[in-house]
Parts: sequence; structure tokens; C-alpha cells
Amino acid sequence: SITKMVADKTIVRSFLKGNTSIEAVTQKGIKFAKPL
Amino acid sequence: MPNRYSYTFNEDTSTYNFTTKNNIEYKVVFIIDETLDSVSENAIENVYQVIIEKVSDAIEPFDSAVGRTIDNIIKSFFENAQNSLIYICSEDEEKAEIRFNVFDRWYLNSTFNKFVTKIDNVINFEVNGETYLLYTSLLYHNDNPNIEYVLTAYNSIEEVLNSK
Repeated sequence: SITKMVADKTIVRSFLKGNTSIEAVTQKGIKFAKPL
Repeated sequence: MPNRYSYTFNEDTSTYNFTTKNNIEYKVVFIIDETLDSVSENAIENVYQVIIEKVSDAIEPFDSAVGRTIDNIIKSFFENAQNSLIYICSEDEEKAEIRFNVFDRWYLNSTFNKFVTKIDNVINFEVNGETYLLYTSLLYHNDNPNIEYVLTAYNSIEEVLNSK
């Protein structure tokens, strides 16, 4: 679980930089929070 | 000098975005974390990681408005008292201890530390004869109705990692 958590951070950072697509992020099962 | 920058929420990417006076772009995102849920007998929801990324490659001169803007985004996040933030950094990640200490200073100087509690646990554990170090923090709203379950799950991480 912790290894996945660390890996998720790396993928999301790459996504924020524009180097990874949103599809690749969601394929990893990463879910984003929506604001209130 | 602005007190803080205005920011927008991008519905397509679920990111908070702002640009500084030096034209440096930042993005902030909250992602659902299931670490605590995976160690709990009770369903644990509303636990997130926050990821802050300076998107621009340019070197940013010190700009205190950046910290205040991020502070404001996180303060808004805790308007839902059931939300919690978990921070886990393993020592094989770059500058883990430095980041952990920066995170602590940032919390102590935050505008929300009167109603959000932060607890830390640096966990030493062994796997196959090798010793590992894990820097962890949990931030939770003082009025979180589920805090008993959340804390039990958070504390059980160390118990399980140190079990034989």
C-alpha cells in the first residue's frame, strides 16, 4: 500500500508537469478529490 | 506584494492552479489515499494526499505569497471536517527528512493549526533483515466525527510493520 502511495505521487507529479496523460493516471486507479 | 495569489479549480484535471508575479505556475491536487482503509477493520474514507508541484522549470525567487496561497487551499480543504491528510515519505525518496521537517514548519506557521491537529510518527522497521525508515504525518480536523477510527488505523501502521 505504501509503495503504491509513493508511486502514485510520482505519476501525479508527472501528470501535473504535463508529461503523463489523465488516462494514464486513472488507469492506475488514482482518484482526485473535488472541492466542496 | 500580494497577500496571496488568487487560484482557480480546473474541473477537467481536478487541480488548483495559480501563477505568481514571477510567472511561475503552481498546481495543487488532492488524491484519495487508501493506506489507512487498507489497515482498518472499519471503512475509512476522506483521507487524501496533497501534492504540490511547481510546474514551471524557472527558479523561483523566495515568494511568501506562494506559501500563503497553498495554506489557503488547504484551509478550504478542511472546511469538510471529515477530511484528513496523510503524508508518508520513505527514506529512499529524495530529501525525505528535509521534506518532513519543512512540512512540520509549514504546519506550525499555518493559519489552520488551531482547528487542525498534526501528529507525526517516524517508523523504523525491518524487512528481510534490512532496516527501513518511514516519515509519516496525519492531519485531521479537531471536529472529525470519525477520528477514532482514523487514529486507530494510523497507529496500526507501525504495529503491523514491527510485527514479526
